[in-house]
Amino acid sequence: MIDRARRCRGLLPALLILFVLALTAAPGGRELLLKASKPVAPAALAALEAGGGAVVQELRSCLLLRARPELASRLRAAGLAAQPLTRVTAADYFLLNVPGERPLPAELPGVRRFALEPGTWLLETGDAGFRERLAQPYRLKLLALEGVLPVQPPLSGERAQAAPGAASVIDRLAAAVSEDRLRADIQALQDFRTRYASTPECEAAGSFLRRRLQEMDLGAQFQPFTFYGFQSRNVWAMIPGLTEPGQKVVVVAHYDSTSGQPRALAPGADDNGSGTAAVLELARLLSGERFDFSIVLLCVSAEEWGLFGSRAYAVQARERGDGIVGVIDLDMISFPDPSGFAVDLYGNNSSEWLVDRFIAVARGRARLRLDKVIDPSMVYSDHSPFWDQGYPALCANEDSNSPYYHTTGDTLATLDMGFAVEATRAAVAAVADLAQPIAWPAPPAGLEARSQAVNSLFMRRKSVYLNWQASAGAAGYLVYRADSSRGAYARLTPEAIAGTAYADLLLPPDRHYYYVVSAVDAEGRESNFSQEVRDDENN
Amino acid sequence: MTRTTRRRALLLAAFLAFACLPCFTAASGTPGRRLFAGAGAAFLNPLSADFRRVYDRPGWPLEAQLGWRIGPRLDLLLSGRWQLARGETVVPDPVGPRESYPLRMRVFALRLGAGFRLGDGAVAPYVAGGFQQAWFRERWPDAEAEENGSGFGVFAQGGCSLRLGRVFQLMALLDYSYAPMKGDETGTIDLGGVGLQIGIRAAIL
Repeated sequence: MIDRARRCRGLLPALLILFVLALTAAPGGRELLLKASKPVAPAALAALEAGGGAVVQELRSCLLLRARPELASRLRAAGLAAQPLTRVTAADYFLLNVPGERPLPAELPGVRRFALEPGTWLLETGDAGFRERLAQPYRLKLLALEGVLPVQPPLSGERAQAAPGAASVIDRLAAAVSEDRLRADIQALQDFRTRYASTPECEAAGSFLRRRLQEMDLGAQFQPFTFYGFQSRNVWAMIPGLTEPGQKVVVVAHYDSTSGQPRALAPGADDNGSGTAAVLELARLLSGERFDFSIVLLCVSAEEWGLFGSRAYAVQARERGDGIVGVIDLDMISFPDPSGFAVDLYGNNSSEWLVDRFIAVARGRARLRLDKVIDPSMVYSDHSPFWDQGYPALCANEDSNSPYYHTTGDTLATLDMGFAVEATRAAVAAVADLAQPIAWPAPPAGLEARSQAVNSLFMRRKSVYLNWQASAGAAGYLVYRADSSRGAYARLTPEAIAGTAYADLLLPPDRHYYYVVSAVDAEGRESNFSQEVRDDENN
Repeated sequence: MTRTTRRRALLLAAFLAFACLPCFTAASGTPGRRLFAGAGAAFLNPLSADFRRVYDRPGWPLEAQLGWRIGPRLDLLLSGRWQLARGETVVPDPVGPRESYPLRMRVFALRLGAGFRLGDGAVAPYVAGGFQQAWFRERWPDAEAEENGSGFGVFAQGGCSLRLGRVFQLMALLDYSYAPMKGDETGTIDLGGVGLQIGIRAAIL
């Protein structure tokens, strides 16, 4: 009896140690959220990644990081002074932005807050109802604690400018935007009285959007998702690309709305009936056209709750391995500034090329001013979850201060439909340009590549054999090669070649090469590129 | 001075030093020792299957030799051996049209060793062996490519010598060499082989 008691006493310290070890080893149990002021040295980011930490959010002046405490000293050694904000718990973490840099209420029960930038806070809460105790207007983003991915470089594989024939297609499409249809769709969305996510009216609005897309013979679908125990649905449809259907241009707008009394009345004509109507108009205009890349028309819900709908889509796209050329987010594009029609195009550093390209193609096709704003802190719309997943994206947003923003007064009567038409024209031109209209002649189809090694005794080379199907109306073909997928293509054929085969001989063997072919008609007009193939794709 | 130039200078110095040996020995009064020079050609059969596959015409290696008789039957040997081979590229796993490009390979080997006569008659068995340092240059004109390398190996010879008067000897030898070479893009390949070598020697000092 005494022996047993002694044995038990001996086991107690061991159990205690095991208990402590179990606590400390719990996944995420000791992780911290840290704020690191910019600029951050690349060595520090490498140390963060190597230590199992992650960048959770990039803002204009700082980065939000997730890391274990012991990693902090290593980060300091790598030149990063990071200020701990809080320990990561099972709570939700939001970025909150209050336009005009208004102060927050002194007390927000159930919510911890940490100032990040002027007008921007990090909120930690387990209470879904906190947002209804905040005075409108405000903007929210749910943080993805798993970390964000670096945004991919631009696809330089596609044309920097549309093929000559494509320009006239873009002109025609932009000119065909209908004010009546935009007005009718905004009115229809406003007629739901509220589209606040979690309400039946919001779900009915989703069904309406799917019906509208189906009327255009697009196979529209729902993407259900949950947030705080509620269910809502994104609605999406796709115009399949003919040359590279796996590459997608996404145009997105949120159809949910909010106001000071969101469950009763939130007409959301500008925010974001205007963007949603523009997506429907894009669907109508683009669905009859032929493009190289697919176009995804995406209406998302629960944006006003913290970008839940677009996050669900972007995460799933990344998991599927979707290739996304670029994302155009249309969010409030119909309330003009008294000084004139103007739209701000928000991008982050890696998406700047997308903003530049939008401006270049919309100029002359839409009568409005387009301003480039490179600001990684502008994360309060549906482009931001795409940034987090490493996709290039921009947000088009009216350059004005609407007094009706997030109020029950945000109605069609306050909008300028002329502005809505011009902004939609710009969007049509940008999306069509990114998806690359197929003009005459058609790009070659069925490009295949085989590579074979050619050896001397001490040297290795490889030769690549290409063949493709003849394009109708083509007088010849041009062959291009890049060292990386969608890299900078260099033309291999100084003149168009007549046949439908080409051999690229005696290349250094230690890397892969990527090829595209274009067709040239008798008048010298060049088609878009064919689908890209890797040198050994058909071996 | 580049590495190649330095190497050539060293080789030249070694050759000159070897050539001057009889002068020093003559000064020290050691009669009977002779310097001789020789030349020969060989029919080579490479032992490497890769070599044979790429170079179906391995060429006829030519050799120039200086020898110094240091004993009644023992010779010290220094020789240079040139080989020019012609071949064509190979395609191990063809998936397209048959491709073939001409190749050129030059091999130079500097050999240092000893030879031993196994008799005093007009016809006597003769064996030799030693080390060699070899350099190769493979050229692929269509690819505008060239590969250089070097390697250390050994050689062995066996055959007979036929005395032709007081000055000349005719040599017929079976020649084996092991010449491992490593390229940048490949593993080690033996450029040596087995060959039949015919040559003539002349006593010059």
